[in-house]
Amino acid sequence: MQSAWLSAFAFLLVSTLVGAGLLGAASVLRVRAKYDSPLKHNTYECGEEPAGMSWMQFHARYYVVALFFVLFDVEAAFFFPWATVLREEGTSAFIAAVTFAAVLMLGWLYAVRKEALEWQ
Amino acid sequence: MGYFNDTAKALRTTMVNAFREPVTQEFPLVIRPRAERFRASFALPDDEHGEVACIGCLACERICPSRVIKMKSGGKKDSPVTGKKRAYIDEFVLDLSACIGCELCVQVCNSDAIVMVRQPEVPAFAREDLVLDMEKLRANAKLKTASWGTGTRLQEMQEPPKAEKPAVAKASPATETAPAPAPAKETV
Amino acid sequence: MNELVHGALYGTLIATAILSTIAMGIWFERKFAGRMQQRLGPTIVGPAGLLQPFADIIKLLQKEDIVPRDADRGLFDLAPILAVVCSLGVAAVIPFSPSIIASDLDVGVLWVLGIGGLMVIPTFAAGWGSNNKFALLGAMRAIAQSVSYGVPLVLAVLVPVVLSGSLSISGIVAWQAQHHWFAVWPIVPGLPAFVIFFLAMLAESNRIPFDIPEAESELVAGITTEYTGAKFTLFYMAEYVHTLVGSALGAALFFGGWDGPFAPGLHWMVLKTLTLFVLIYWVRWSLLRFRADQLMRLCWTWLTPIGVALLLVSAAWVTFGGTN
Repeated sequence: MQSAWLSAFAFLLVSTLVGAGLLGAASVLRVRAKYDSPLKHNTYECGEEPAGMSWMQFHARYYVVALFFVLFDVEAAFFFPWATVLREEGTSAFIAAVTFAAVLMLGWLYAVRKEALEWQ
Repeated sequence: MGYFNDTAKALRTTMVNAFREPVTQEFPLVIRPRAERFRASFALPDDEHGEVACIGCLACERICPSRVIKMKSGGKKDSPVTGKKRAYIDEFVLDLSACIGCELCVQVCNSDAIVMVRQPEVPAFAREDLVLDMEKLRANAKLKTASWGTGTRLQEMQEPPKAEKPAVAKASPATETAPAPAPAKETV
Repeated sequence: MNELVHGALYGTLIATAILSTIAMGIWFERKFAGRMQQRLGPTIVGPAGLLQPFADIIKLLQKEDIVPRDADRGLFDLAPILAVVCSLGVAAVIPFSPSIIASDLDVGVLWVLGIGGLMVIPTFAAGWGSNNKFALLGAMRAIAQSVSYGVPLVLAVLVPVVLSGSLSISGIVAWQAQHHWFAVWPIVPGLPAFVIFFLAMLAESNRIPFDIPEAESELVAGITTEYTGAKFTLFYMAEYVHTLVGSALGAALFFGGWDGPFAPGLHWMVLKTLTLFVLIYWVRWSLLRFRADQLMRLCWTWLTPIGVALLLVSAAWVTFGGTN
């Protein structure tokens, strides 16, 4: 199956070329400014002078969302191999998955009760 | 449930609308002729001897409400054409990007040295392209049609009517109205 | 080596097809949106405005390239290309007919989710690289949204995987061709899973009603605030590619892909993909935007548990209900 991976990466290469080609075409086609003004390269802030840098702190709720994503995505990663062998393994695999999902949803229930996922 | 009902309603409304005749109509693709007295840009015309008429008196620079005119007076020199001594300008810059088109500069010009022209400037990529320097303004005088209004004509229009008939003026001093100046009706 | 050429050839073919579909899709969207609001839509460029997208592209390519002084130049330039790669790369494993597939990966579903999930990187690169508050806020929202909706998306995609027992998309389509389309039978995990997939896909591609990341009334243009010309075009393109590839994926996973009577497989696949594509525009021009908290609540308190439940139902179907 190594061969299919090669094709897939060739596809990625083609999509990179699409993006880079468009930028290249634009670098030929685009109009160049005759005059330059320092104002033109200001950060856009609705016409005001930009107040400081924007590289600053975020609200903590983004962090909670990221944690939940990691949690559920790892869970999903476990489900993928399980899904392929479900047919052969039968009932025991099903029971394992139900237990796994039940534990996971307990954590989810806790988070919902604690209103960890509520954005005001 | 309310959200689902509203969603269904919204989807139905848009789909029904999509098969109706559009209400809007195609905008008529006709280029309308410009108004007769349309004027858009400026020019520095020559005087009768073929020299720049501007003498650098700074009247237009001073009256300009948005201060877009900047000029540098060149001092008095002997004219190479007529041999007489007259004043010249070294630089004349008009920033059309900030000009409000009030035509005051034309009105105050005693030497008819700045006029408006009928054709607009070509659209520019940058604001700086709309700054008309002396070269462009002189070229405009040759390439574009000057409008009727010059300094002397406009000043003539605005002068109070000369008291030619004192008898009439005495008869109705309160209701004296200026007769419309004759040249205004002969707009080109 | 042979496979490399195969991938490159089919990649060029599929990418060209997708991009030209999108060009016409933009025209269709504008015309359709116009008609929905009883306007005319584009009429000037070409007959019925058909050349409008090309005029748009030429206009965008001619625009000046302005980079903000405070921007992180490397991230700023890299983000649009990455965005196109991440959205277009998903199409590598989608079978458009039994033979037209760039790469028949045996873990196609993982490829789709992986490459699609990488989309957060260009999003954040654009937001962070612009050094613009609107862009950064838009990027954070976009990431929170696509990360959250990634979970129901994965759960919904797992339903066809469980039902067919295959991780390859062409395998899933082949299974449906032999048995039933998953959106039709078994209808209980199938159709709700498709609905969840559709909603999550709308959210992943930042379409209305989930376009919080670029809510015009709040964030100017989200991550694309500082982008001009060709780089903006790439982001714009990536969004449409995302939508189109998402439609193709939905058609392949839930509606049997190239399977259908009377006509060649490609026709069916194109028909199903375009139907979903139109459906997305229909939704887009009909609904209002969700608020950020409504968006999160919908994802975490409704879609995620329903997704887990559907996954277990489909597992029960496979284990106890027999195999269709």
